[in-house]
Amino acid sequence: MNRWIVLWQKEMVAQWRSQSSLPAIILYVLSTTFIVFAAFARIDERTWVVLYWIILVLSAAQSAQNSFRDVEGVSGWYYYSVCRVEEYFFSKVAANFILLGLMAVLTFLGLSLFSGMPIRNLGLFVGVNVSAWLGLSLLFSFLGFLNAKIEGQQGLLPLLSFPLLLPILLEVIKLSSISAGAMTDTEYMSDLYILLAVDALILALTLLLIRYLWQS
Amino acid sequence: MRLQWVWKILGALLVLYSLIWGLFIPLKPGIVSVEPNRAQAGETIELVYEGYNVDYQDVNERDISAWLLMDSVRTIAADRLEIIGNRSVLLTFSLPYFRDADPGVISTTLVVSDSTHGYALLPSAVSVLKAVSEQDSAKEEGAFTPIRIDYPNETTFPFRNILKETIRNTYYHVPLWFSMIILFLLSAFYSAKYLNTRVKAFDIWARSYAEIAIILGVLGLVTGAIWARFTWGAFWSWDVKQFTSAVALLIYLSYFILRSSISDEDKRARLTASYNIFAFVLLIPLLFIIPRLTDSLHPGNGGNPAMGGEDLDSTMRWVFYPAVIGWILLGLWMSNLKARYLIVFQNREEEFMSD
Repeated sequence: MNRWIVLWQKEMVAQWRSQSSLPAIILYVLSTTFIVFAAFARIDERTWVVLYWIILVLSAAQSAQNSFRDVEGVSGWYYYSVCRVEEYFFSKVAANFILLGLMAVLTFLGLSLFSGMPIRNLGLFVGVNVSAWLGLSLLFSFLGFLNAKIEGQQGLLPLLSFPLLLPILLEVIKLSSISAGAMTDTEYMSDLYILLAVDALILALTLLLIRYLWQS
Repeated sequence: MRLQWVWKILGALLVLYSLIWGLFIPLKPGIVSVEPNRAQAGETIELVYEGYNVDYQDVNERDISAWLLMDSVRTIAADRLEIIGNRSVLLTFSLPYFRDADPGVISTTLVVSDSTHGYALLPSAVSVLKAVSEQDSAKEEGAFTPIRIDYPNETTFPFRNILKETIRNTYYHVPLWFSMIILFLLSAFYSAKYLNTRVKAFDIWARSYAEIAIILGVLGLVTGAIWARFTWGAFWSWDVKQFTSAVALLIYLSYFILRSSISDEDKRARLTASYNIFAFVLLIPLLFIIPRLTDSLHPGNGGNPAMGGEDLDSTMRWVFYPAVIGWILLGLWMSNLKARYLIVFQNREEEFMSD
């Protein structure tokens, strides 16, 4: 557990100090919201929600790909010798989760500033966000890890992850549309439970499969 | 004969059986349209009905009988029948007045029966508007005659107005998907076996099952699209079931892209096995949970009933279940061949390298 926290701290520091990853993501989020503003000016609730999640998913894929750069090569062997794969992997998941939260807040503020803030049920929206960040950070970390293990071609992550994202993305867009008032559904709790169940499924799968990705 | 041949031959025979009987057994007669479809209680109406799978050329008018059913007791027999075409008959009904307790509109079922073709019925054929007689309504009770229907002499499939002949697709579209799911399951199972034992052959088995499952999945999607063209009006309408099924195939295509992009054999087997299990488990909410909660036209989703009841009668079951077993066995045979071919190929390659 202690090693896990140390690894996580190291990961956060590395992200913070890195010249490319964190500023690049912030730049990406802000420039996308500018483009959305320039292209649409004002948008309806449904489009707002869909754009929000697309921006978020693309930047999450990018940051997950960056965070597993050290899995191969000398640093990879170092981690392999000092810690268990679960500690290594879940420190990355935690870092990605926090980064995803940061990106979400930035995207939310950027879109709200330029294109209006349609969310009416803020509690539901925050709940959906947190459970989606959990699922997305787990899924992207797992596939980012897998992607980092492929020598040569490392641009496969979007290809591997986007079809698998669909169960999360469908529920998330539906639930946030409800929270924005673009859709009415009084029984949205069952959708929220499905989202959490998918998160739990991904968590169980990563726990089960992660050690097979590690060894070379 | 050795056991390993029995199931393969059985699979091929069952598929052949379902193809032959699925295509050649005729449908029950049906009612395509009725004109007019509105009437007032108490009046005498003339209905023209057009039948399906009937030929009245050599049928005597006296052998045909027709009823309008208001409920289980009030069944009105046709006063007069006149054959006006090969498939159409002019029916004359005198409708009784309603009782005071009746609702404003009763939608009646039309039943037409003759000894040659058997019976046909159309629910909600004519909507009858309420009218109450000034006179004593007890007199009307005599107008009702109990219905007596003829059953077809030959084996038939049910007639459904929205399906017509496409009801036969039940024997191809549905078993193809069942078979696909079983093969994907086996593929994930062999991937798990590979991760546990590291026997190279299990990786080849997992790959072969996934390959054949994709072929069956594409066929299932195509037969589904053809069916959708007939019943829903378009080959592709972004129905959630079509959408998630297409995504399921995309997931397995990315599995093969992943396979082809790793050159080291052991690493490829390990990484793709992990991805395969991960993908298969995530298919379960995608294919079986989310479509059930979304509006969909597909049977079994979005509040629609699944196939069953009158859509799958006992004659159909005699073709449907053999078709399911047959396609599963055929899928297993194809994957079996593919895997054995790959294993032989690999062994030859290794021999060649070692020489």
